[in-house]
Amino acid sequence: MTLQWLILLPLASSVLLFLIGPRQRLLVSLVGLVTLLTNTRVVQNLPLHLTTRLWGQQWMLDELGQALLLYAYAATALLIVIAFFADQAGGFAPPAVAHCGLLSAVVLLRAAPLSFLLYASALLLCALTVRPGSPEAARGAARWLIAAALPVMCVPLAVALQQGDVTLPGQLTAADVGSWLVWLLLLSWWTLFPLDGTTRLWSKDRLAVGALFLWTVKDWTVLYLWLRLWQQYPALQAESPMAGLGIAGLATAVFSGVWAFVQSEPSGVLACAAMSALGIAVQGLTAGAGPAVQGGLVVLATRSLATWLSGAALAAWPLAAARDAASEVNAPRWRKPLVFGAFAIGILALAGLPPWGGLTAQGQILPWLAAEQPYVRLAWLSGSLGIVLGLVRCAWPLWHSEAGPSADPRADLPLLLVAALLVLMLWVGLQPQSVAGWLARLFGKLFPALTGG
Amino acid sequence: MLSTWSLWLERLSSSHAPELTAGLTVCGLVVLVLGDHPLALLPFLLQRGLAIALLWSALRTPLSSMSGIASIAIALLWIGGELWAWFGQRRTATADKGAALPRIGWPIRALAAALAMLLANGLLGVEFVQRLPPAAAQAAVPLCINGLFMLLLAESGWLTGFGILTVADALRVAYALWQPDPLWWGLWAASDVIVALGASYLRRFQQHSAWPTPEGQG
Repeated sequence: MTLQWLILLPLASSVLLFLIGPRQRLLVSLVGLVTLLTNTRVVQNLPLHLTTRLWGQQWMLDELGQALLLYAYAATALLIVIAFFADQAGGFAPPAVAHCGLLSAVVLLRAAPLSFLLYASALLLCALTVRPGSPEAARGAARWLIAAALPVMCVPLAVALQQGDVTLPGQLTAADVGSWLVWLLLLSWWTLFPLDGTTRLWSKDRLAVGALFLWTVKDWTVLYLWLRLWQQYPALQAESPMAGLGIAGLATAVFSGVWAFVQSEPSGVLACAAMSALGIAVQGLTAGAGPAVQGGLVVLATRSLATWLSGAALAAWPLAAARDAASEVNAPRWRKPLVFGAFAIGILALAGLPPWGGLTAQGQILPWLAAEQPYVRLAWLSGSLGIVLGLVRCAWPLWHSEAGPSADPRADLPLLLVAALLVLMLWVGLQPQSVAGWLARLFGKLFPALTGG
Repeated sequence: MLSTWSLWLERLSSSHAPELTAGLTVCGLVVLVLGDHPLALLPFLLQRGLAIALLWSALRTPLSSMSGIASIAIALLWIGGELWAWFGQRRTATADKGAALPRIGWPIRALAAALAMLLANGLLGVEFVQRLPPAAAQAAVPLCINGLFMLLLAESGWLTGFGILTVADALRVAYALWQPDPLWWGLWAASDVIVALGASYLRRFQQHSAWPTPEGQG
């Protein structure tokens, strides 16, 4: 019963949230949070490694799957809170909660091709998180539909090629074609170069919580699915598609980073910085060596935390500015500096600047890359420079943006979230080894799948 | 009643396959030329119907039914969305829809359709494609090329949805050659409906952002 509960409850809840409507943002947020809390309890109580047969399929939960689900629920809950402060909860919560329901099925299903097919549906739902009002965001969402939908049959086809006796023209083998099909899917779902502008369009004009969701929940899930596929079908792992993915990662890191310089809004800089960090993480994950994979995971983890911090800061900014505007003439105006500092720290962490783990992780990745070291370092630096300049460029208009004064003390609530995330970010900066150790414990068993060992 | 329909479709797919294939290609080209115009929905739905009819005899009943149900759901979603948008537009009577989106004119679309036809014709002569059964190749290749051109010319979620579903139909024709799994087929059909939902949402969203608000008009 608990299995169905885990899948059907969020789906039913998302329908309810949709019916409640976007105007009831407090109610929508509360129902969404309660659903995710219930699912968290169910996942914690579900026995590990116990295979169940249901709806004609085998279902099982392992440690990594449990960790991913708990992470996804916690991240979604956090993003619902950010969406509440940014006045986007009504549009964001229903698809995000539905995504969690489908994600439960994806993680629990034993058949990897079916999981990929099901996850495509969950990704397509994410297009519904786009907020009305911006034509750019609609263009981004339309591109996201293409990126999520077109490779939908890649993995089932790759597996069918593996299992069937299929003759292919020339020197091609079924495994070659299969591994390139998987490459295409990863490129699309991670929106690596040349698709890296997809989510940037969502957040070009203003903060888009749907995009934050894709960067911090979807990207980890795609990594998890990829690892599972390789565990089940090692023949789909080939050197040249991985090298191609690494090149796409490098191009994403550089182009997205440099593109940050021309962004006029802070949310655009955040989008470019998040995509640039993803590019470096992908380079580490595809380098084929344990330390590089660990470095890639650290970059991905730092990226998630930094994205939440900067996103929460942007959501809190208008309220903080309004509270500061209402304070008395001689009273200290601390809210705007705090929120701006949090946003800047998040962006700098995404740019891979010290003291956050990004730079150390980049050092771990670098020796294992096929390209010449100084050139790769230079390319990464150009990306980082673009992000820092983009931050400097958007800082002035952000700081001087006007807000009507508000004396309502409830407007300080988002500052609590920003402060908590800031403390966490600073702790990660001071204790980078703890994050690396925790990730190694969680993903350690899967390292051989990534390193070909 | 249903069995009569089923028999009729089976006879149609086996005896009129060339006509159905030609119809698929023509409908795809018409959608390409019409682009974001609301009337593009009609040839698109006809194209999907023709694809289902073409595959009817090659597939078992549950698979054909799944495709049929998904197509009906897509049609309802899009027709409903269009009606909703039409009533919304009537409420904000002075809306200037012409200014809503930058549009690629129909002559360029017609040229693109001609190019798509040429490309499809060329691809049908490639050795790898010629290994496929001729009927499947003649249906899948033009569908795939038309779908990709739709995606290339898409300026909105609407044509993007058409393009994605057209490419999916082409892949479905190819997949039908390999004893398709009902579960995969069903999930794929469900994904199609979600694509249609997303495209419909984005279309309303774009129209909404393009229409002047009552305050703006006043």
